[in-house]
Amino acid sequence: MNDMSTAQAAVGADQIKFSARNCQVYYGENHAIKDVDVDINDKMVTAFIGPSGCGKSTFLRCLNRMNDTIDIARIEGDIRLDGEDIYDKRVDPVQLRAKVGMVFQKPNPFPKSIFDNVAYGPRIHGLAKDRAGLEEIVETSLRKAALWEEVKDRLAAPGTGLSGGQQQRLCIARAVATSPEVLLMDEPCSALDPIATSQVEDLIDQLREQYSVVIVTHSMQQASRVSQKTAFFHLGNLVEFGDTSQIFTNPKDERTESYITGRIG
Amino acid sequence: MADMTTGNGPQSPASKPSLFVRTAQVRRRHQRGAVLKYLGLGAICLVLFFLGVLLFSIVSRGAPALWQYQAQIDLFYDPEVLNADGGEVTAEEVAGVSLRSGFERGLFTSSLRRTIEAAGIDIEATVAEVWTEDAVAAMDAAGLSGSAEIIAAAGAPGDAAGLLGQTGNAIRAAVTALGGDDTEAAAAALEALQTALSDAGLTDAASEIAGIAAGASDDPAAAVQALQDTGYQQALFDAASFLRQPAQFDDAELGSIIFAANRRDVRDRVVADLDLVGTTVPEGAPVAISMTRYLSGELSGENQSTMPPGFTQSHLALVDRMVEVGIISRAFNWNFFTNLYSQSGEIAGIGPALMGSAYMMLVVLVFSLLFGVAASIYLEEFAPKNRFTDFIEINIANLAAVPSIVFGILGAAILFVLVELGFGNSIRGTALLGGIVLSLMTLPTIVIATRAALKAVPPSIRDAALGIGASKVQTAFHHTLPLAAPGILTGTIIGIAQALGETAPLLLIGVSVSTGADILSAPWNGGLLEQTQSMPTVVYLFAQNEDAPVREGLAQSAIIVMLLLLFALNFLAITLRRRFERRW
Repeated sequence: MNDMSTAQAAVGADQIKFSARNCQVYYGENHAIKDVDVDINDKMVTAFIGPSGCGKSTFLRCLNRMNDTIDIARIEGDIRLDGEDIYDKRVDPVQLRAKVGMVFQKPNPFPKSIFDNVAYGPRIHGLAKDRAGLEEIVETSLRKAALWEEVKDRLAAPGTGLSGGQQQRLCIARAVATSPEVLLMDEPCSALDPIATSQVEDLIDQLREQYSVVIVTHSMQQASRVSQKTAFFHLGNLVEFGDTSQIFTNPKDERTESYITGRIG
Repeated sequence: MADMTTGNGPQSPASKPSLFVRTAQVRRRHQRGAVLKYLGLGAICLVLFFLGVLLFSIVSRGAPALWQYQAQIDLFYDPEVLNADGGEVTAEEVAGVSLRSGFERGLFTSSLRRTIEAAGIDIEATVAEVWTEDAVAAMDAAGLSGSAEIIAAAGAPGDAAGLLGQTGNAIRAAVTALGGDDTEAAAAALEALQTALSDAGLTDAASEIAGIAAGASDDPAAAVQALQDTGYQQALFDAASFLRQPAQFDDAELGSIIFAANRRDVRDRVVADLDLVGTTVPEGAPVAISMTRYLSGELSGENQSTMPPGFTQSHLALVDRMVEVGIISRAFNWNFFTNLYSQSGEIAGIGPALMGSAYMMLVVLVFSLLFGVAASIYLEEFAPKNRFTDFIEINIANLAAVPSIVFGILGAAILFVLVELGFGNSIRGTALLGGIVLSLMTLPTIVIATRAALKAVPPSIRDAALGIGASKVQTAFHHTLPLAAPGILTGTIIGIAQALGETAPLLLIGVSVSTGADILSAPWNGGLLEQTQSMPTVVYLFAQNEDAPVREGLAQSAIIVMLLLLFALNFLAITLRRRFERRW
């Protein structure tokens, strides 16, 4: 897989989706993210790793302006999506979030039917002209999330009735249903068992073909399995960013080495 | 027993205490636990006891009052009363007939007399019998034997009364004579007394007097004492007065048994259907409310202090006979729920009050739900967290603690301004004003409940919606609000139930004084702008009534209705919560 990742990285290297420069995040007095510069490529999985509280989730939430919902959060610096500053006054965060989908740590399907869970995004964004179009989007999205075969006979059943792994895949289907360009995943497998985790990881690998995927994970094995690029965060700093194979085999910074060998974290 | 192991934990392993032995520390902990447990149990028992007392006192008085004693009268629509001039009967003519002299006396009382007599009850005889019994009882109590025969022998009760009265007078004359200096006159009076007693047939008493008379010349004072000690004089006078009673039993006495005042309904019925004149139709009339206290056994009527006010033994005897033949019966008083308020407990009802309360609830629902939910969504989902919103939040909590009477004062102040502006009287005591004042009172409760319900929606749902590009408004209305709806509904129903029971603010805006309130029109026909009553204010009015059966019966009946409504609302709230509650 590492060989393939390197190959992909080479292809996508010039297609930069997100670029953050000199990014600072403050929670009130607390300086949570310090001077982060990172480029996230299209059609590639970028993993953010680091010990708890290092700011990887915070930085992830900057990418679709989810931090806006936190009153005390303040973001400085420059984050561009396809060269456009996402914190520009003219940008509607809601429009941004339709382009940058998000999957959360805990599966959080709406307490509605499976169909409505997936159809909600297309509905509010007016992506389908009619019922048939909506059904098509739902089916495609569920297929992309590798869930269609399991739920096609019970689309009217509540989404909360699925198993944890299925729920998380439903959330992924919901996120891809709005045809985003980037998928942010905040520790998507931390609440799942190993079998569900492996299913979701396979899924992430497939999603890479169409989307730019950013995944925050605690598991270094997971980062090495699914990602092509890895960013290591520590105490709010981006310590090291590079090809996954390089980070895990030949880290340049000793903090990275300490972390991946288990000495800190 | 798992506690025990932890209790033994700190012990040093060297001593190896057995798990079966309780250490002092464990015993103390058990003691403390037991004390706490029994204190809690005691507190609950106390609360249940008081609740039981409350419910018992309300139900034991209020529930029987819902069953009313009714006299079934074959009402004869007497042409002589309704059509006095004898010509063609017209609606105007009937409408002009007085409710008091025409309908109450002319129709109801005379029909009652006819009905009673048709049932085979001789009113005069029934009444006379009572008084004769009382007379006999009075004389027997004094030791005058054979009284029943004497009264029977005298023929008419009036004659017997005369005879007994004369005998009593003879005793009084003898006492007076003994008190004087003239011993001969005294001896003659005693002689006359003995003759009178023998003539009346009271031979035992005569011989007793003879004994007293023998010693009278030596010690007149002792003779007077002896005469008074016999108690004959009082017994004879009492018996005489009992026997004179029946003569006073007239239409007014008979009519007082039932309540037939202001029978507009009967008059309206005749006006609407003139063919009724001359026919006989069964018609119910409530039994006078103080009489119901006798019928229900609350007053025994055996002596003056237990006599229903305004009645005598003869009424009771007649009523007893009427119950026996089934003219008076007890039936559930459905009219209580539809009748207008009245001072007279017989026809008083809670119709306008029920409607008024329902209308006010409607107004409260619309106003407080609309404004409460809107305010809550704004504060919870959109408002920035700053000092200003903190200030609002604190003051909403403060508002919830404001005594309801203060809202009443506010309502009164608004009313005062409206009166100044010239249209205050049209809104005084209406369901609209009442509802608005109650809404102000309910609003904080609903805001607090709604905010709690919105807060209880997990943030992950908001994140999920925002994460796929829903706006704040879409998130609030598509996800948060529907999920919070059961909680909001519960809070609203509880707020409304609270408003339903609120009296104080309504007293101040004229709802309590609108005693003449009619059944309200439909809300879309301006029913909200009509004078109205509410359940709590009608309870307040009943509780101030001069008749004990209203104060202690109907007031409780109205309370029962109100409590049932409240329980129904709370039950609804619980059911809705159970039905729609979601778990994450």
